[in-house]
Amino acid sequence: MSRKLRVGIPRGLLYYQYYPAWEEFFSSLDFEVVISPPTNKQILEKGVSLAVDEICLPFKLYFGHVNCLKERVDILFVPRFVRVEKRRTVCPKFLGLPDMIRNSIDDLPLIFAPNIDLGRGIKGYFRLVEEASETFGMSRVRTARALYRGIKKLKNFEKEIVNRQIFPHRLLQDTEKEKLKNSKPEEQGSIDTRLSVGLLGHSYLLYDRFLNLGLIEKLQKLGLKVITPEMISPENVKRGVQTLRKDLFWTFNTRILGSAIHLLKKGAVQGLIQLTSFGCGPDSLVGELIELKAHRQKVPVMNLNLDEHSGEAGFMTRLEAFADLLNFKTGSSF
Amino acid sequence: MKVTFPHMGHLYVPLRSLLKSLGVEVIPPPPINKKTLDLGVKYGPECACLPLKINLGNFLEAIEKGADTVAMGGGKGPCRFGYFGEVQREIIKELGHQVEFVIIEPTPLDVIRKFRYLAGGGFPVKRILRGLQLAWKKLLALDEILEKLREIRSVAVDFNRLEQLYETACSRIDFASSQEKVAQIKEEIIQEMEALRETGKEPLIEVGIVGEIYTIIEPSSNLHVERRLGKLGARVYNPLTISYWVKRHILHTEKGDEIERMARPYLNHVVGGHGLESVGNSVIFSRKGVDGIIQIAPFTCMPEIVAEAILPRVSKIEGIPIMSLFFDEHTGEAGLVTRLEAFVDLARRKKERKEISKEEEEEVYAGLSGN
Repeated sequence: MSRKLRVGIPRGLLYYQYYPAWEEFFSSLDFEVVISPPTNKQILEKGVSLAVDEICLPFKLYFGHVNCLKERVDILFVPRFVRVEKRRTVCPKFLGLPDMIRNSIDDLPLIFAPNIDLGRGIKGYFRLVEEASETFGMSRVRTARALYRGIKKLKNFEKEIVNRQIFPHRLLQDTEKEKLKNSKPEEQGSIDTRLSVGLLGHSYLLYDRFLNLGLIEKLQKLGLKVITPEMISPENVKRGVQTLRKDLFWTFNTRILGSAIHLLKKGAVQGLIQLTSFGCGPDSLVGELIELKAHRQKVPVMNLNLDEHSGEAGFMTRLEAFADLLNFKTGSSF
Repeated sequence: MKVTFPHMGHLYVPLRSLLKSLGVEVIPPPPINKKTLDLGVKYGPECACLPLKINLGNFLEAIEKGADTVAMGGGKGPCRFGYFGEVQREIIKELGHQVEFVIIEPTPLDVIRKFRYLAGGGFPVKRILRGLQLAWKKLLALDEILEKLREIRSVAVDFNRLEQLYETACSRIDFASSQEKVAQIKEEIIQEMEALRETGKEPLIEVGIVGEIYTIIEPSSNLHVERRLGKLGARVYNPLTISYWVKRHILHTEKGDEIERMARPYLNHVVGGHGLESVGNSVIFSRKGVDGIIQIAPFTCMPEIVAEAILPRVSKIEGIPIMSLFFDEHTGEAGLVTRLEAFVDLARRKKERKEISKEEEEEVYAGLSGN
């Protein structure tokens, strides 16, 4: 009776950004990787009840995903995400995530919560390998090799998104159900339209179709080509933020802001949509800056603010109105 | 250069001193009032935290009075504060004001660089050093007076007179131009405050305050929570003062080792802002024997939300009531008063039960030992 040890990865927050790395890492170490189901009503409601009121929706949702997984796995992977590049970090809530989870949810299995503190030379990687080796009782060589493979897989994943201009969640579907032939990742080249819209926001909002009520598909149905920050090359993002007076110290928002500046500079989009969750700290500041910049260039911006009460009703109306506005603006220039 | 800056408690007193020594004209914003908040809410981003909005209101009011330069602090995250200045600058520019922002990063190099700039390029070292010394003395004096205020509040014979003394201290020390005068004023005020203590009266309970620094220090951002607690008979302990912050993060004469150590079983990493401190200080307060802890923070404050998620377990394991209060422009006075009264009541009953059970315990021991 020897089955593989099960590692649970909650399908929320940074899953949408880093899952390929984690999946490869744990599989290489001979674990069975289990993820929670796609977000649904029960998971969301459970998360809302477990988390404190003030915390933003994506984190509440994560609590729900953790709760859903806890009884089905031997180990839960809840990393303490600190940084992936020097001089930048992330929202404070990521820094305290394992502690919040431990102190809010009962009956948890073993939690593997390594510090992901990289981007300042080789030390961070050593520590990560060290922590994993000690926790799992494996040799450093083996763990290091698994880490290397994970990072390599991640880099390819990121490159593919930029090269093929494809959405991460479509690619992720491929990863989980590799044998599933019928859901081929859609590409947008086939959409014939003059209208492009920059859809800006954190990956855990843009690619969770339950949370955002299928936003991307809805926009495409309205005849809009959708460009998200993950599709912009790192070089262009960097060029975008170099124009800032003071460097922004959040990695994810740097990507969002840099993408916005790049898209505006190139005139690549006719409009911008900012998808944010109510109470998001970094978005509240960066969103304001993006809006001011777009305003100066006379590019229309629509702000979509999500909380647990977001209903479908007014949503579609607003999207249609925005699409109409973009059509009108472009049409009038003819 | 007509320089303004944000209000935070009595920060304006040492700051005015300091900026004057750099040779600039100082235009402090008017005291925070409803208009300040309205302006900040109107022009600030909706989900920005209250401190940013209040700052913005301060700047706009000061600009009305002729300020053309804003001196503001910087930071490197992950708390949002580090990027306040950038956003405030853009908003004010968009509103059509020609205002320069001088953002001072909390490093010795940048402080010197920006001071030089404000001083007009030159750096009259002696004058600035004297200015720094006077400013520091003013800050220490006011923080000491504030501590005395906290001590006497819950046992004062004349509550209003006591509050008035603090206001008087601020304006007198603001006006003082020598260290000796500052010391003299401080002694007078502290004596007068002590004289307002009702002899023999003890506070009902002792409460420790933890949370985000701005909302803790600026009373208008927390609906004067400490004053209300004092009126309810609670002696408030609040170690987070401006001078403590300077000693900890600029002079490094205060260390955070104990705080980190006490927080570790609950929170094992910094989370920016004062999130770790909120958890660590809660444990420290509990071990010191306070009767209750109140966490104060602005709505959407990320580090304090992390602490908020963790404090209930601290409360359970340490056996001490902990209440979290998050403030924004919509926070109502009535609701706050109800919560404070309930909290003081709860803490008082727990304290009495502890004392009763202590007495009972002693009786039992006395009986057991055959007395």
